[in-house]
Amino acid sequence: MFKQTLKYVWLVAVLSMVLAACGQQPEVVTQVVEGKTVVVTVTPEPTENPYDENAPITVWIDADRQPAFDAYVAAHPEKADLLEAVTVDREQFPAKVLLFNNTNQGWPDVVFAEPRLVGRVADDAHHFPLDLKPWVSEDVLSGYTGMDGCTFGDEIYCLRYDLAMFVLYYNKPLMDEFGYTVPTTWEEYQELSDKVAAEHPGYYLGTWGDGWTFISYFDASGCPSHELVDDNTLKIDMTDPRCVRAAKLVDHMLDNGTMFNTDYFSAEFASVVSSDHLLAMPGPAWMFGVFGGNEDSSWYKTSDQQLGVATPLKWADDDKAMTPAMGGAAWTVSNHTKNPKLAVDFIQWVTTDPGFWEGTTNFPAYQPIQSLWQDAVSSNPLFANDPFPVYQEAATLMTPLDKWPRFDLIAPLSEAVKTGLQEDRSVESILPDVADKLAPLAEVQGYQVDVTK
Amino acid sequence: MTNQTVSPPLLPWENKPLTKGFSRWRRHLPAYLFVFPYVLVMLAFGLGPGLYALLISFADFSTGVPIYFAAGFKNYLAVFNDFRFSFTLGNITEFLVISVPLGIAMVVVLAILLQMRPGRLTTALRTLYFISGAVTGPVLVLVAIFMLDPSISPFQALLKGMGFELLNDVIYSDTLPVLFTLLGFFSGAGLWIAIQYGALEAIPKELLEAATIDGCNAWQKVLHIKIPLIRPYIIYQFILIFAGNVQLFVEPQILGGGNNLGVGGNVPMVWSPNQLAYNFAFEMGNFGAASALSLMLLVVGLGAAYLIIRWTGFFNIKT
Repeated sequence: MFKQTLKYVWLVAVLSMVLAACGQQPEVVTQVVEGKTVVVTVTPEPTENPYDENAPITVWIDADRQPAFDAYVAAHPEKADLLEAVTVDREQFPAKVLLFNNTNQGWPDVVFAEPRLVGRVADDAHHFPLDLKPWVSEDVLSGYTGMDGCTFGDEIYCLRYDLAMFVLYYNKPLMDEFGYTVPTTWEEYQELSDKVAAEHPGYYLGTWGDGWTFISYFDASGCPSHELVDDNTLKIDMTDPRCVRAAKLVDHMLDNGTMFNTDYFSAEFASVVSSDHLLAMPGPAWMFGVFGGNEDSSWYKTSDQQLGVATPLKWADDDKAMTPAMGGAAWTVSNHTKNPKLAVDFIQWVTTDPGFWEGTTNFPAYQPIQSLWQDAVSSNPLFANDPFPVYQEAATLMTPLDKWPRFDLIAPLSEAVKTGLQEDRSVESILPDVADKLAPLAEVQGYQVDVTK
Repeated sequence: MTNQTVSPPLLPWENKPLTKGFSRWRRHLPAYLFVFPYVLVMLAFGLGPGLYALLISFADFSTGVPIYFAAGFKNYLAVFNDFRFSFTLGNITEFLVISVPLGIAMVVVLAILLQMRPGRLTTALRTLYFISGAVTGPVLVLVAIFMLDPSISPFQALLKGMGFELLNDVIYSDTLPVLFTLLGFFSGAGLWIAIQYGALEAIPKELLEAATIDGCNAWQKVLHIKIPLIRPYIIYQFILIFAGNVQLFVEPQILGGGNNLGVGGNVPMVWSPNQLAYNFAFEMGNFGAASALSLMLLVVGLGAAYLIIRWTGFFNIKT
């Protein structure tokens, strides 16, 4: 009886295997190469023009980008029927592309994503983005800032939407009350921390607690913890003096108690800021929205005319400041799209249209419209000074480290930072851990890794 | 031409000697009908995907689309050579060593205690234990974070009194196996307590009465009569808990999970082997290696079950 059942199970097993093998889309063909039989997959060649100007396109956005989509549809009512917006969690975007590749269908045509995510879908396994060079005119392309993150070899895989360069935010009334001047260098920032620790303990100048806080201090110092030498070589040198000086700064401020110990968005840190105990802090451009700029914001609550914005800090030895970035997004187009004309028109419009950009809270990456954005931001009662010139200057100071490798940096960096805090170790002593966490991830992504730790 | 008696052909259910196979088939038909839906679902969602995994574990994914039978054992080697393989193996071993014996012991002790003093209170408790099982894994993780984060926990005073200031002080690599054990216990214990309670109820009363007359105390009854009699259920629990725990995924994924995927506890992005399989598939695009690792986990679960069954004679039918 048991043997008989087993026979049936085998029959079903073999049958399903055969069926599974036959049902797959890419046809399997064997070829003889150098005397050996090799299995090759044949991708069907397109037999007719693959493009269709009337083909519908799907646009992947987040909830905050719905107004951009609606604005495009309102400005192009004749194309309204061709466009469909889907709100997604874009962190899942690289994973979804792999699934679509397997089923050979289902890709979105346009995706809103950070250049770091575009980088992750640009490798051979994902093979997603369309080279935009043939589709966007040279004049328009040259108008964008921050395109390093979108450029892969000779090809351009995305158009920048907004920039998230860092500036120095400070509490103007508090600085005046304590009689401090706003620091311009990291050295002055450290001196200020000693003064605050001695004269006003319990006030903070920043926070250290996850991968983004690591980026905030180490990328601003130019530390080569993830420097792309070329598209396939990653340099990780944690002994570089630029890493050591950043580590010493953070250690110093953790010791004197002016550096808080969580990420930017913990409940604890939000209450520090909301109770006016944050004196100054480097933060990305969009962070002003978090500083009470938004009615619904559950984060920092600050009063009007309180938030000062100063140019990003620079190291005394460097020629100029370098600003890291925390986000700053882009739009990318799929190379599987049937209607690249409409897809490219869409992403060009939402990144460059002056009418739409007036009144948004993100700093536009497209230079010709940056001054329009000025009107919205300069009249915002939140600020103590006109932040626009500062944002504009900071946008020109983006560090080349903003171009990310093809893997997530934040999770491994967070691990190193949090473990260091938990084990009560100095930041300087976790630098080799950072290299240990990043190097193997880079290797499995096929990078030639040059590690010093 | 002779006189021929014409009789209608015999119907299958009429008493006529049939072929051996057919009569057996008829006798077992209701049984087959009862198992049929299960077999169907098992083929579609268990065996089918398993065989598909076997198929693609030998496929090459370096171009993004599967090339069947092109990888040989390369995917299996990729799993063994991955820098996180031994790390996740160590983690899951530690977790199993803590969670399986502790989980079983706690369930058996609670079930025995409940069954010893039947009454309204124990019935209420039994229901209470069962309720936490209604909360699914992901929700349970969120509840756990709410309980364990010193800044929002209702037990804030207790946590801060113990010297915990931040979530990172509570959740970090050393505490993870215990944390996952607790999570697993609260989600699964209620069901197993009900099963073991049922097993204890099935022990014949005469047996226990005889033991009492012979001067057995409560402790001796538990040790020498009750536990040996519910042994098959304990073995059954071991097999299922072991197989389930080897596949630990949701808890570490939500607690840590990396950038924007989890709640940001200090949990390595890849902590358990199942997370490594997920990482192979959805971060690195190597569905072949992901399948290879998944099959290895299946083999571990099946292997443990086989050994336990052989060792204990679980399936031996007593005559």
